[in-house]
Amino acid sequence: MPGPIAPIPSPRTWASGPILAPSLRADVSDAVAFLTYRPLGIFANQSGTSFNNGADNSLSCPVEFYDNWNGHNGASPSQYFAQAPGWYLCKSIVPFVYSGATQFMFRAGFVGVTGGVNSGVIAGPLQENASTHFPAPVCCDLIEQTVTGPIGGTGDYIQPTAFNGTTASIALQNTTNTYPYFSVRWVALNTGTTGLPVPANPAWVSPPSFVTSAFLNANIRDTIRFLLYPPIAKAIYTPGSTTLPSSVFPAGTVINLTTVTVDNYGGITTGASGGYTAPVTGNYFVYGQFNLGANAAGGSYGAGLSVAGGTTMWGDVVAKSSDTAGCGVSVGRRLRLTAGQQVQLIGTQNTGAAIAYDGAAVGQTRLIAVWEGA
Amino acid sequence: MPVTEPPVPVFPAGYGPLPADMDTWVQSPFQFLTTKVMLRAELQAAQALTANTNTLAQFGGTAGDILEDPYSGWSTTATGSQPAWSWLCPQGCTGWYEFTMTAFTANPGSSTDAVQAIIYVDGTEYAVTSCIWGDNGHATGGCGAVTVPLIGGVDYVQGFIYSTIGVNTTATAGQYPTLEACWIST
Repeated sequence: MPGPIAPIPSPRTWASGPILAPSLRADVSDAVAFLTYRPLGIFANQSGTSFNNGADNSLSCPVEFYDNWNGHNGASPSQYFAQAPGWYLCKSIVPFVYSGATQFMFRAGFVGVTGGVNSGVIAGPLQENASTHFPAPVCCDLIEQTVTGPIGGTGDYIQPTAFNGTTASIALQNTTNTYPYFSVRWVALNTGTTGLPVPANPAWVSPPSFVTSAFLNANIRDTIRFLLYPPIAKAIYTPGSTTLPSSVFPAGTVINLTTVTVDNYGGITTGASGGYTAPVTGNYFVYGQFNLGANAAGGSYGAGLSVAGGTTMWGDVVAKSSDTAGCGVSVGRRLRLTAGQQVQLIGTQNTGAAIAYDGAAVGQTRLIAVWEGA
Repeated sequence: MPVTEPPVPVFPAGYGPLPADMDTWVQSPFQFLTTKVMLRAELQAAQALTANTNTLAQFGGTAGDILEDPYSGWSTTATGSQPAWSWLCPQGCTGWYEFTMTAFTANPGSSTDAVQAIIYVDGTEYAVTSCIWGDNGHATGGCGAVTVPLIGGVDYVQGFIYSTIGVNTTATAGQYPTLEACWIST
């Protein structure tokens, strides 16, 4: 599939006068083309090769499942170069071949360039493993790309990483449909019009009624603007003095988010009772994670989401043993939120004492919300 | 109202469109892009998981399991080529879908337990979306996501749970296995 598919729409403001076919093509046709073929890339590593330990190393993913805007550099390290500016929802999973009785840490992540500036490691939760099965750490983040350009050039890009916390190189898993892969998909422009309602998409009027410029502005211009720049948000915990207290599952504590990265519809509240309040009704993809600092106690960690103070919907609830590098968990769900409902990231750990958040890398504790549909 | 995936509309010059034409060219595409194809389901009743086996999660076995399925793709019974406990990609809605899945079990009672959430497409394992070290002491689970290409009216998706321990899924609110989907691209 060649790309780019369509220019990024910039819908006009309609005034009284004829509705010309070229105007509709430029606005409606281009918008439908862009939004149905929005940039999406899915890549994998199916080599089962050995992966070095001790650092967040670049992960090669040369196998292309899909790349509709041709942004993938299949060389090592694999990089996805933004072909359209915007916010990209990025996800990865990196299964390692390890099933020993000694617990070790594993992590998936990303690095890249945003606005021409190198990012640090965008870390997923540190997954500890001493089960009889291979670990599969995951990562998800909302990453901004502003400088577009050809693959291999100086533009912004996103690159997967992985961390093998054992004491030696171990293999990446490559068995039937279990191997490292990552996906990047465009979800919103960098800037746009906010405060718009969810498009109503009414039927066109029939005579004797007639189409007005107000109708066109509401149902073409503003519809396109909303879909290009829907509600998105991300907040992180900037390491400070906050700790996560010990509690007995399923009791938990609201994660204290302190810093807003993006929040185009003003839904985030920071602080100890903070969260994301849906600005419009709809289905949202909501993701949260936290990483706690090194802790010698055993126990369990869990991450969940609570809507309007209701029962926490848990994602990862996992075992942890003594660790020297920290440990974390994540939760990712699709939730129907009514405008005004708040979703909060909840954490639980039962080691018996409060634990400080990991501060080794920025943004390891974060909450993301993306409006996906009405 | 569910609508199918839109072609890029062509507005012919020199043609006087009727309101129905404009609905086809403007309203329907934007309806699809606004509402999107969705699925949200959870498994509320406890279901037995066999140790070291991928167990088909029977979403929909309890009233209220299917939280949202506007295209009625989920079926708890075999219908034509669609097996029971599966979601059939809606006719006319071919594309890439992102599935999120949570696998949750009751207390496995083991310190070496592992739990996986697995997506099957057309009866074949497609991807493990998460694999976690299960907690020995209370309910345990893990979640993840995968992006899947599906042909409308043809491909179906199922959620499986793997546990190294024979144990039930949980019947406690907030600790249910879940399966969710959203259309993301043509």
